[in-house]
Amino acid sequence: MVTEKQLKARLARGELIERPEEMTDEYRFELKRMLLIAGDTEFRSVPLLHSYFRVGVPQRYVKPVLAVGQDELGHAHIDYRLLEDLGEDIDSLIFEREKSDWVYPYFFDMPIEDWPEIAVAEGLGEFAGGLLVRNILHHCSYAPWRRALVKVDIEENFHVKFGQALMTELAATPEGLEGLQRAVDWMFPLLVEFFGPPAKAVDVQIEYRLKGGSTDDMRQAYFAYAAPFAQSLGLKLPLHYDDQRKEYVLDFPFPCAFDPAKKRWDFTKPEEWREVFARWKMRGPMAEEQLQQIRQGWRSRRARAGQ
Amino acid sequence: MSEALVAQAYKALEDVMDPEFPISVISMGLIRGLAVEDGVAKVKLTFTSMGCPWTDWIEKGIKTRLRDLEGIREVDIEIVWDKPWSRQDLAPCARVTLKKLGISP
Repeated sequence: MVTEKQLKARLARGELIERPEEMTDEYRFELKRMLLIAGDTEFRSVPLLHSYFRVGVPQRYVKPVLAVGQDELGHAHIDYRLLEDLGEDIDSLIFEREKSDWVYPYFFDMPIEDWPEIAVAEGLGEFAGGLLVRNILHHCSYAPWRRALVKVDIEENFHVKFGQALMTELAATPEGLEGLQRAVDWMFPLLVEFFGPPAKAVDVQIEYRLKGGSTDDMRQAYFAYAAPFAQSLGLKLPLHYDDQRKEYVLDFPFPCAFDPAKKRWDFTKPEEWREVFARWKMRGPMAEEQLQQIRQGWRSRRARAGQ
Repeated sequence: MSEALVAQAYKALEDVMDPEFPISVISMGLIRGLAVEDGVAKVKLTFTSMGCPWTDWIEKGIKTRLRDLEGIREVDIEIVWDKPWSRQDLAPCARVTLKKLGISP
């Protein structure tokens, strides 16, 4: 059994980990945690994409939206498949896990109700997901995951381009721009939350080189994309660049109170992170229905197979 | 028909990338013919499959890039399926790129 000291010495030399035997229990625990978040995030973006068809997808975008969904399922399969190598049972993870045990962004639990919301989910939401992928692709010490993410990164990049095209198209008319602004107003703060609580002083996942940047690094990288892109379309985001601090600063208390039923933030009500964690744990408005949808398909397939 | 303009148009299409891979539509082998007559570029285009989700995207990319060229005011795209695209249509550089991405060319 490899010791913590031996593992850390290897990681310090820049070596990569190939097999479970090369891990300590703690390294394996953190790696599995990250794989589960990555897999859940890919997988649970699919019901969201599926919900676009309730809103109505213009004919010329039907195949692209289906293709994005197919890509995301493929990415989820990669992450879950790697978890299987580490001893997890995928069927029970996907089909039997309790709603509150899933670990994906609250953003995906929200109902999508019009085309501008779809455009923002793709144009601003996909980039947030892509950043998480790149944080692992370029830094992760677990080699099998890194290799698998090369293709994932390319596909995520294209999803962003697709979303940008949808947003740019809408921004060309005053009504479209108004719709986008309405969508951005409630979606952007959820995407700020997407990266998690503030960076820890000591982050064991960074120590193990499972990822490169902290949650705050990710958020700044996200702002550096979202702020100029939104501005180029004429959209207002509640943040500004602080020249002295040389970073983006939010113009609202973060975190703060959110009413999911009304899709409205209350910038006058700052919250504690424990309150945000409680909201995440409860999951959002669409979570239960989406989970039932996933389980129903599995149950009926098993019933047909006589299992 | 200006041969120089056709050559220029082929070169310009090297800038139009496949939506999913960092490979141009030329190296993907999607361009089956290209002629320019009276300022109209006539492009014969195929796709890797009939179910390709990005056909509009690729056509738009080709049209935008070719219209940028002096001497081309219109782009006429004809979609052709005979013969169907296969891996044999990939340029050697495209094979190298795909291999690097972990995709079997």
